[in-house]
Amino acid sequence: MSILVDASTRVLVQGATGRFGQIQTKLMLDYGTKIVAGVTPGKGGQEVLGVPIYDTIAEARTEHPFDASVIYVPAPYTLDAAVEAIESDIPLVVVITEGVPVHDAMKVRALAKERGSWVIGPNCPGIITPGQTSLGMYPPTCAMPGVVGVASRSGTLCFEVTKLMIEAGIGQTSCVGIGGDPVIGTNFVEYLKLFEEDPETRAVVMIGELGGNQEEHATRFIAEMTKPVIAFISGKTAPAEKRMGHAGAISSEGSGVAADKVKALEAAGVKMADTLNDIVRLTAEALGR
Amino acid sequence: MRLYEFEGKQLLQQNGIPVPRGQVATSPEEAAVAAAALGDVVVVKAQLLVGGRGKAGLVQPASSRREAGTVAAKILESSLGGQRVRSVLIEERLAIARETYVSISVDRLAGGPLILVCAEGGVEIEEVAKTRPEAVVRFHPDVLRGLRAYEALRVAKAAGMAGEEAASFARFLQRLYSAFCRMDAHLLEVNPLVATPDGQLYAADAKVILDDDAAFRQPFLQSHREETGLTPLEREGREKKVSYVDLEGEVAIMGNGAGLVLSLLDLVRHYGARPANFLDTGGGASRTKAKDALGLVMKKAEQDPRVRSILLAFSLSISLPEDAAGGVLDAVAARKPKVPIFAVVHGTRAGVGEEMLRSAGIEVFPSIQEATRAAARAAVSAEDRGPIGTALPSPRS
Repeated sequence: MSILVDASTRVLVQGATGRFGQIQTKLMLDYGTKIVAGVTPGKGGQEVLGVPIYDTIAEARTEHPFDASVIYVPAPYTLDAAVEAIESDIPLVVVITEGVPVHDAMKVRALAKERGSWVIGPNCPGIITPGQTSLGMYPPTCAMPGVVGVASRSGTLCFEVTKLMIEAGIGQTSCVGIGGDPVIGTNFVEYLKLFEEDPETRAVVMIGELGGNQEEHATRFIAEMTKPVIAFISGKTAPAEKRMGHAGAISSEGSGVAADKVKALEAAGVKMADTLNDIVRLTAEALGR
Repeated sequence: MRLYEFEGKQLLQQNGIPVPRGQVATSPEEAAVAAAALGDVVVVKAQLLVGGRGKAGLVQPASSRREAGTVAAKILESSLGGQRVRSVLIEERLAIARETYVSISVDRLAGGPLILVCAEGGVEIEEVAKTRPEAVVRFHPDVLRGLRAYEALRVAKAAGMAGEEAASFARFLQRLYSAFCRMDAHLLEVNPLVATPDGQLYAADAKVILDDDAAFRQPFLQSHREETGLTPLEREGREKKVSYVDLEGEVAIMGNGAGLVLSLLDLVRHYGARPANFLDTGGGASRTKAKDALGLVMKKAEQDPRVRSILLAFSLSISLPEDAAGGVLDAVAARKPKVPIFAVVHGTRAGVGEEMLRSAGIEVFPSIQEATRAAARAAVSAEDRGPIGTALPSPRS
């Protein structure tokens, strides 16, 4: 099992014709992702790596049913693309794009909640269910099938953690980069609920960072979970009031401080890892290895 | 980007929000001229990007142009939180009937806008929210529909206003909400909002933070890229479009991915050294960008005598090894690094990147932990041998 996506998921790519879109479409196809169509306004009728391109989602849909969309369009057009996907009632919308204005992200999130779409991102690497499908840009060498669910605010850090995990023989049910922006479609706690419900997931790794308070917010649910949660928070040595790469990675006027997150999570009984290797060790312990 | 009060007020005014009449001055003479133009009874306010001006005595009334000049002279010689006062805002002094706290911000957890109103103006809102939460009215408007007139009125009444006062506050709040959206603001805080005895409302103070990611559609952000409070290297990072933050330590760091680099900072500490900087090239960096980024880190190593090693970490997904490692080769070919480089390359086609770095004589490690430990050890053992070169003052002082 897995969360949100599996081998049967049929995928639409919005922005497959751009430079990154093409590279990523190829990598996803290589992984086995069922990409059925692409949408780029003005490029209808073209083909990218054998994938037919349409001008609108409505046109693509008449030929190919799909369950999810991955968005690679540039930041100024991301709102339009996401709105089209959500108003087309696509159940899962993965927004890879970095640099989306926060007001646009708020609109995407609100619309998704209203229409019942699940939005991952923006500013994320997407989701991979190892051995089955990949929506986004999760490096295939950094994940393998297994029993651990992984959710992370940072993409690259998540790749590193799961790479270390597979070196230790620990695979994943699904790995999701939830997004590094201040406002994202779906917060940690909602992914934790999915992993809790997924019968194959036996432990969950949560990788947070400074900024905001969604890690603290998740503690109440974690306390009710039957599955062990291992957490890591980066940015413990970061200075205040400085944006550390991610738009969301900033502590401001005493809130969003990494050390406070560690404290809150520890108080909720979460096993806190100090280093990346620690995550692997604690996960192995939680699995009884 | 955080704006100075006078910049924030200019934007608010352009968006239909009344603000007190005022002028910016950078010298006592300019301050006196401004006070004269405003009718002598004024307030002199230090323009700073840190809070706590009032408590520090950097907001002062003046009742004549001469006094305005004297007060301005004193304030212009002051500094607060490491920031020097470079300008003052001379404003007409309003007659105050009532002061209110109003802010509109992005509630990260709820993922939408949040309006906060407190009937007492000039307060520290976090403090009031903690000690007397009932005194702060919270409202989450629907970002898709906007703030309705009746919703704004409900907020006003919940904050204890009534009659015409509540109605005019509600109109102000609606305008402020429109400005929040139109300006692509992260935060609009008006503390206090002043009601004069004749019932007029003015944003008497303004704390405005705009969303840097909205620069493509916000002319203000396009013309005001220079953020004060940046070190020269941070400014250069901004020009080269990489996230660079100066820190004080021995290990200079570069990586592609914010979370990855953040964890490197923590790990360097874990191994007993201190990170000298944060540098994230971002995903999908071109060869030129990678070259510029390492160039920046090498410059840091040259300028800051504390720096003893460079740590490079690439996690390749959207980035290609030819770009990431290629940029490194270009940078070390252009100028010889002053300190040893320790590297790690993971992800899609990592082997290609590793080979390229090794060909330039860079030591490549199989794991982040090993690379970081090596970089930290090199830094600390070099420290044991005593300092080399002459210590420079820290970039922020």
